[in-house]
Parts: sequence; C-alpha cells; structure tokens
Amino acid sequence: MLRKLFSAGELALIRKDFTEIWNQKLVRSSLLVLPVLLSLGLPLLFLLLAVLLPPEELDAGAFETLLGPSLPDVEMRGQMYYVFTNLICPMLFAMIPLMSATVSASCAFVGEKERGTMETLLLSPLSVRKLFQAKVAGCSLLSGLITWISFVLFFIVTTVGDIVTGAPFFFSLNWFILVFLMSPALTVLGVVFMVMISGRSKTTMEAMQVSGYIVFPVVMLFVGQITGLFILQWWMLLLVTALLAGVDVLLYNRGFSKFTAEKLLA
Amino acid sequence: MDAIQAANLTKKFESVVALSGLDLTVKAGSVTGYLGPNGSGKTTTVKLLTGLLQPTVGDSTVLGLSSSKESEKIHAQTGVLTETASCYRHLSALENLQFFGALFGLPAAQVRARADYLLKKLDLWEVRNRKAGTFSTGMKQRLSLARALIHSPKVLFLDEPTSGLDPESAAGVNRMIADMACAEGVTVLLCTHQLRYAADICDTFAILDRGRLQASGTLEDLVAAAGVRPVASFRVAQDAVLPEDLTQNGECWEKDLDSEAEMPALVTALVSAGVSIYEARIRRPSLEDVYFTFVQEGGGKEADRDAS
Repeated sequence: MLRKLFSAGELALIRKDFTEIWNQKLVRSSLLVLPVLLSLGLPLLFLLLAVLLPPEELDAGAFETLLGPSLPDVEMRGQMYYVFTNLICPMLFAMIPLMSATVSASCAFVGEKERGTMETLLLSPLSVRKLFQAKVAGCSLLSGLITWISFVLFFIVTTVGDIVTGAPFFFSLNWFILVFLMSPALTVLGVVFMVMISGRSKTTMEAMQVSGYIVFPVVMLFVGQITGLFILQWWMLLLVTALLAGVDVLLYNRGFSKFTAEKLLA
Repeated sequence: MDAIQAANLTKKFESVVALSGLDLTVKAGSVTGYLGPNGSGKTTTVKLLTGLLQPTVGDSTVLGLSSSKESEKIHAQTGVLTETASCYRHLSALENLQFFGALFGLPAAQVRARADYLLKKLDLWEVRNRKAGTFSTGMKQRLSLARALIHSPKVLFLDEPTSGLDPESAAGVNRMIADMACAEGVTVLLCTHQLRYAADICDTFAILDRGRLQASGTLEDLVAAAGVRPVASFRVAQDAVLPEDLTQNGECWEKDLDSEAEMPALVTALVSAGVSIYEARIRRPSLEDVYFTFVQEGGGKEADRDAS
C-alpha cells in the first residue's frame, strides 16, 4: 500500500529516517522506554498495588467521590483499578502518540539541519512538498506503530487486571475515541508542531524541550478529570478530537508554507 | 548550446549584497573555473543556479530549466557538491550512495554498479562498509563527490571539490573531472581557490570579487583584458652590467615584453653587450597573474567584464 502512496524516492527517505532514528541511542530509548513504561510498567505496578495492598490502606471515600454510585457491586480493589484505568491511564496513554511524534519529528526535521544533510536532501529531485510529506508521513507512521503496540500491551495488562480485581472491562467508548480518533490527531499535532519550530531550533534536544508546550494542555485536560473537577464524557473527547484535527490542518498548511529551501537553510 | 545561463542575477541578504548583476554563460560540455576569494559570491551563485536560493533580481537557467521554478528537474540532471551538503554519518559509504541513488529514482542494480565504480575510482572501495561518520575529511569529501556523481549528471556544480584532499587525491579528482567532461560531455562549473588545478583542467574562467563578475573567458581572453604581458626572465652572472630597463626579481632579471617575438632581439642585445646568460626564458601570463590583477583591482570596477 505504501508503494502506491509514495514514490521510490519518498520510500527511500522514509526508510532512511527510520534507520536514523533507530541509530540514535537517546532517541531510540525515548521511543521505547517511555511507551513501555506508560502502557505496561505503570499499569502493571498499579495492578500489583491493587492486589497486594491490605484493604484498610484503601480509601473508600476517595473512590466514591470520583465514581459516585456508578460501581455499587464492585469491590474496593476493582473500583481502585477502574479509577486508574479510566481516569488516569487515558492521560498517560495520550502522552505516547504525542511524545513519540515529537521525538521522531525532532530527529527527522531538526536533526537533518543539525547534521548538515538538509541541504543534501534539498539537492535531490524530490520537491520540497514531497520531502515534507514523506517526512511527516514517516514520523506519523512510526508514532502510530508505537502507539498501537503500546495499546496492545496496555490492553493485555489491563484486561488481566480487570479480571483479577473484578473491575468492569476498561474498554469503553472513551477509550475507543482516544485510541482510534484522538491518538492519530495527537500524532499529527506532534509532528507538524515540530515542523513549525524546526526553523528556530538549532539542535534535536532543543526541539524536544520546546515540544513540552503542546504536552502541557493535553495533560491539563486529563488532570481536571483526576482532581474530580469533571469527568470527561465521550462527546467531550470527540469535541476535543475535532478541535485537534482542525489545529492539525491549520498547522500542517502553515508548517508547509515555512518549509522552503531558503528558510530551511537559513 | 548553453548549459548554464544567468542574466542580471542578484541576491541580497537584508543589507548585504552577496551577488550583483551576474551575467554568465557556460557552454555545454565545457569546464569553467569560477574563481574568487572567500565571500566573493561563488557559493551563493551555485545555490541560486540550483534553486536553493531565490534571486532578488534576475534569473538563471540550467539546461534550459528555470532555477527558481523548476529546481527539482534541475536536480535530477545535475550533481552538486558544496562544503555544507554532507552525507549521512550513520550510513556506510555504500549505503549513502544507495540511498541517494534511490532518491534519484534509479533502479537498485544500476545504483549498485555505479556506486561500485565510483567507490573504486575515488579510492573508497576498501572502506565502503564503514560508517561515513568515521571518515577523515578527505574521505568525506570524496564520498560527497561520489554522491554528486551517482546519477550520472549532465552538469556538475563543484564548490571546492579538492578541499581537505592531499595533493595526490586532489590531482586524481581533477583528472576524473577532466575525463568526465571530455568523455561524457559533462558540463562543469568548478568553484575553487586552487588556481593551479583550475588552470590544468578548465577551458574557460569567470572571476568574481565582492559579488561582481570581474572578467570571463578563456585564459587568452583574460590575459588580454587584464593587460598582463609576457615577461622575459634572465639568470645572469653576478657582475653583469645590464640595461636599465631590466629589473631584478630574486635571482633573475626581468623585462615586460609586448610580444614573444621581442625575445630573440633581447637575447642578442645582451649577448652582444657581453652579458653571460645562464638561463633565458619567457614567463607567460598565468591564471594566477590574471586572477590577482582582477581581484586586486577591486570589486566596483565593471570595465572589461566580458573579455570573450
């Protein structure tokens, strides 16, 4: 399918970007360690806590405040695990597409400038538009792959956790929207945001640090839920996703307008 | 047919005029030396011609294609080597060439054959599987040249191709460039400081200083435009009494000639005057003489810009 969408030159560029990202220790570890920690490590840790903590350590009042009477037949451990998987884990999971997109895009865009190879690429017969599209596609594909693998790991651990703790099955409409709609939007947001700032950033590390600006609003959205200010309903997530998609289109076009040979080499 | 044409090509960066009113023509199949000191605008010219920069005023074409509007098509038929365009450090020499070959849309087998040929020609065969990041400066330069040649371009833009190379490698690279131009009809625009190498392989020259073209043409055209004359040079006995119109230059005594035909009479006159001559020769104007005449005369002067 990729061969139909991209020319041989564009595919070669995507493959090269993957190799380059993989060959950089810091970038590789960011792309592996963080998703594994967020999708596997923390849920596993919480599951162990839920199973091993003595009942008197669990604060029933706190769960009731967050859940209300929605889980009357579920025991305390199940409620605790449900809170974790439905109120906290979405925020952790949303970090994965965003951070893997910004990390890979910082390497693919800023890294080319840093290593002096952007000029070499601009001397190829690929137009600036095709270069841009191939790099955005490559970073998005990589981030999408990481997100998917992370979700599969999370799904396995959390399903086991739901069975062990007696919590209801975690996968709800909210999760469906998060995984299948919001994650791709966050992926594209991370990539195009990095393209926007690539002109100003001199190094990959600097670009990765600046990417914190877009992580913050996403975190705040879910922090509101954890603190009990509100519970994100499916239609809220859908609205946020639509807003993200709109921002993606805006930034994509804006980012592309900045992607000229002269600006990239400045 | 003209492979490269520039008409009133000008580039300004904020308040700095990097290139001003360049009119340049390079014939297909020729090797043109594009000479000038650091900061004269050579690299800016290459970037304008290859579409990496947009001109402030004027336009240029390469192989009939507009540099500003059809740069991708130009890139497909030209090879460019600049000091700032690097190869990928994490890829081996062979992988770099295979990547760039694929980028140019060449079939894998053709790329492999061409890569093998270039790696052998440029003395990189033994290190073909080593990562480019481990290469010395000279090896990186040769790999960049291989990269510029991987797709058998019709026009080559070479910005200091022998920079960082030892004399043997530099001579080898220059021979290769000359062979390609002769055998394959490749047009070469060679930006260099190394006047000796340029004189060896270039058919025509263009001299740039402070963003302005000072002169262009063959060496004979440039000599005529610069007004540089041949010089009679004599090494004589220490106690020789010489005419006043001979001036000392190190061990030798010299006199400007209007033409080489004056030399026999001059030798005869000195011998008749009892001067013991150990060595007599005509020092013909070199590219270096011409270059320093135009560059020293300064950037504002536009007289004699086109001597051909």
